[in-house]
Amino acid sequence: MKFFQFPLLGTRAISEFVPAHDAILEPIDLEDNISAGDWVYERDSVPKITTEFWYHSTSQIWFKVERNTGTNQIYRAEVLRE
Amino acid sequence: MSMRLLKYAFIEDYAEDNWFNTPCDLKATYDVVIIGAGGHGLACAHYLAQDHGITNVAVLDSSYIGGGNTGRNTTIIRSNYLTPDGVKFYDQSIKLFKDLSCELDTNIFFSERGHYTLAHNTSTLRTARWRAEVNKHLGIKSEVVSPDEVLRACPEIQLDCGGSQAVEGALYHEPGAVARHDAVAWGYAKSASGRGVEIHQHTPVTGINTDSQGISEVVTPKGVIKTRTVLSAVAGQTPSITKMVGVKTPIEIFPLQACVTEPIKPWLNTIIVSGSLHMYLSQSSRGELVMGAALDPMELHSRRSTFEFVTGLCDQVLDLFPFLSGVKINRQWAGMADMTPDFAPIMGMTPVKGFFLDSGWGTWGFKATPISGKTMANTIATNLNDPLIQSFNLDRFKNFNLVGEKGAAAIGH
Ligand SMILES: Cc1cc2nc3c(=O)[nH]c(=O)nc-3n(C[C@H](O)[C@H](O)[C@H](O)COP(=O)(O)OP(=O)(O)OC[C@H]3O[C@@H](n4cnc5c(N)ncnc54)[C@H](O)[C@@H]3O)c2cc1C
Repeated sequence: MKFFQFPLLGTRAISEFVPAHDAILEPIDLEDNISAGDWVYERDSVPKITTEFWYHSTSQIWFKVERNTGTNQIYRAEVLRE
Repeated sequence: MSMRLLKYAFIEDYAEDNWFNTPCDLKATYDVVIIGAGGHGLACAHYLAQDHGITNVAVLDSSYIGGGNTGRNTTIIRSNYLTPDGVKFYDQSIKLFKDLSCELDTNIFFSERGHYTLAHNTSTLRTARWRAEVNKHLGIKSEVVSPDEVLRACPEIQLDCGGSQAVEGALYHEPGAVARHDAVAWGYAKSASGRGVEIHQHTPVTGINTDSQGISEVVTPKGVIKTRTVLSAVAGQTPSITKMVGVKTPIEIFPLQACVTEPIKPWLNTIIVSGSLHMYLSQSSRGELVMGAALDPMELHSRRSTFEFVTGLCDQVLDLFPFLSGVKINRQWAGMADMTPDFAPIMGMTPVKGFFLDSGWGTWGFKATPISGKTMANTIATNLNDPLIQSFNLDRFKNFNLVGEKGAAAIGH
């Protein structure tokens, strides 16, 4: 089982979290170079370091997690604020 | 005992011919370069040679034949999909599978077992009815059956499922089958190789060059190859290959795990799938129970399997089959599934001239091996998308024209 030190929660098993997808920003102008379809669906799913939103359902806290999708190493987790 | 076996035992220099050629060096040019010696790449090579006479073909693999998802899958073959496009496509695949042992002169152990998708609540029962109606309309044998009929086919099943999620019915699909995955890859490799196709194992593609006319070169550590046609059939590594040519796709990679038990006496003559319990199982010809679950929850480019997977899966399997509690797990493994948003493949031509894609096979691509090979070979030979794969083209995402097969996925994702 894989554990990580989360702020507020302490050491938790990562299986306790519901991972959402990459934190992709809203595009400023869809008309410019990409279509809405491209923005919704295009992914760059190669091994890389990425930032994701993870939800911890028992505490109802969202986290922003930096993780390597090639090695599954987690570098950082911070509480997601508006 | 067959004479052939006796010859192996008693005559020292009696040996069967090699199944595949082992070419030394890469040639400078090929008409077609296929990246990936999994079932799909090798099937395409076979049909290019057999149906279209195109044999100046190299199949390159960074690892060994069938070492990707082909050799890691749980080999369930079925055509009870939800969309007419999906149903027609997979039905053609089953038809090819049925004659494949003869066509390839290799026993692929194709075994029709029937396939039960259990429904534990009203909403899954509703999807089962929907699938059954679409299937029947297209001439595919599927029907919704009662819990009693499930019990008749599999008397060992505990229909009350430990008391919490009783089985309320099932979608029964008579053509559901299993086959030996390695044999499918080896059979296609043998046939393609016998027709002059070169299979270069341990030859990773590290770059693809283009010029004003489209694809121009494929780069490998063993040398640079000139070609105008490349097929990417690399499943879990698709995003790395498409990146080389600047083609963007919605594919995301998630690990998918499976395991087998120790061999036990034959008792399970059908295939049992439960989406609600996130599990499925069948019994192999060796007696092992072949079992799988849902995808791992996070994008990950790794084939490490986990302890949580086995414990979680066994927990669910024991709800349906408590008598298996003393049976041991023998092996477990993982593959990398190339998932698409609509659970349908991405096949055919791409915006880059000469670059063809056979991808997006996720958790469901083994059953498509023959038909994807055949339709991709036809697409490459004619430079036109085969009619059977038209709706699986990459441009459907740009146009919001998705196929919608998620409801027919074997297990909840
Ligand atoms: C655990 C598990 C269970 C499954 N169960 C089922 C099932 O029951 N039924 C079903 O229909 N499907 C199932 N699937 C899905 C199925 O296995 C795949 O969709 C299918 O095997 C894909 O075949 P392929 O030939 O496209 O890819 P693969 O067999 O993965 O072959 C791709 C090849 O490309 C090679 N490669 C990658 N990158 C490069 C490179 N840069 N250069 C050269 N070569 C490269 C790899 O080494 C590999 O050999 C399952 C998958 C998994 C992981």
